[in-house]
Amino acid sequence: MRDARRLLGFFLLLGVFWSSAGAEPIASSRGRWAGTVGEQPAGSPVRPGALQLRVDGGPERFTVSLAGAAGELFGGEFRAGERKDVFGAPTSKGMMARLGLGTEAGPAEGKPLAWARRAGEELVVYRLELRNGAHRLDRLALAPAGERIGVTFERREHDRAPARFTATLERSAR
Amino acid sequence: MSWRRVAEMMAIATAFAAAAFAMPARAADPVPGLKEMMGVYLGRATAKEHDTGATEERDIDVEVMPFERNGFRIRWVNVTLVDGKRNVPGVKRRVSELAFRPAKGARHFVEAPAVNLFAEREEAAPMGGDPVRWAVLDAAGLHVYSFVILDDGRYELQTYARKRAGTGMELRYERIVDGKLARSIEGRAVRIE
Repeated sequence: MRDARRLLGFFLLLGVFWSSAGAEPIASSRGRWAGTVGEQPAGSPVRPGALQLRVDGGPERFTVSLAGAAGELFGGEFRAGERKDVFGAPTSKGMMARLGLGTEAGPAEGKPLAWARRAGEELVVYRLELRNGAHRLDRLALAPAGERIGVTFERREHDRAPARFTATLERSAR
Repeated sequence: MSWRRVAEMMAIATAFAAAAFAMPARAADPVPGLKEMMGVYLGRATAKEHDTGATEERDIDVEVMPFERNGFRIRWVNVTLVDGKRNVPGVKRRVSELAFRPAKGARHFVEAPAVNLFAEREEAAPMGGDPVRWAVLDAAGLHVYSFVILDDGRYELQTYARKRAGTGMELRYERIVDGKLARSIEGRAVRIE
């Protein structure tokens, strides 16, 4: 009887811990999401209209794609790296790496740099690109909550003020 | 050809190679627009920490000079003042220097790594925490960027804008951590003869 009470207490504590630990953001973000964004100020990276998000894969390797009415806003593939909760772009090994193909991206040499991090219940993905003498740095934060997901997108460019928008998307069947 | 002759030729080639290493890099004909930025500038700036609102005054000394054929080297000295003075205890002096060369097939400059003949040359690894630095010269002036991915995956972007303004330059520095402005510095400097 005493052992049974101890066991029950253990499972209760485990349940409390489990509920407070929160959901893993990559798994919670996985799937297709859709919604709309309303009127935007001048310089916004997104036009009013449909917004679609797709997250595939799992905590070791995943892809993120965000598209607005005018086309893709963000796209990237990520793989778990040496640092906890930090993800880089997949890189090649062996002969491909020796030939300089598929090795770690160098944004100063024109190769986009994509990475991601897990911060509590939020997944943040990034992309830095230098093109024609100007940089573009995108930051996309995803905050899944059940059947909805909060999206915060920020874009910084060489000679422009930072542009930002937020939206809430719902899980989509398609 | 005798072995002695081969040895003589190798000795001559070695001497040429040594002379090439010993010669300073040619520093002339910078790209248009860059030449106008070359010079030494002295001025003053105000730094602001955006989380605390604290400000401090500093003397600034910026030198833009040629590097290789089409690049530039920039050296800046910041002297953080105490109550507006630089001759009292507590004054801090910091010297920074970077060199840039044109990026291949692009309109920006990339950092030229310091030459170390005794170290194996390695590619910069941004995911390993190595900084990525580049510079852009546009109609407004010279912009230098330093970008790094922090241990926790957040980013830090430092921007140094040095814009032409009459007889000198306007300076604007920003340190952005994961999208938030952490520190800014604004100032003005004049070109010295």
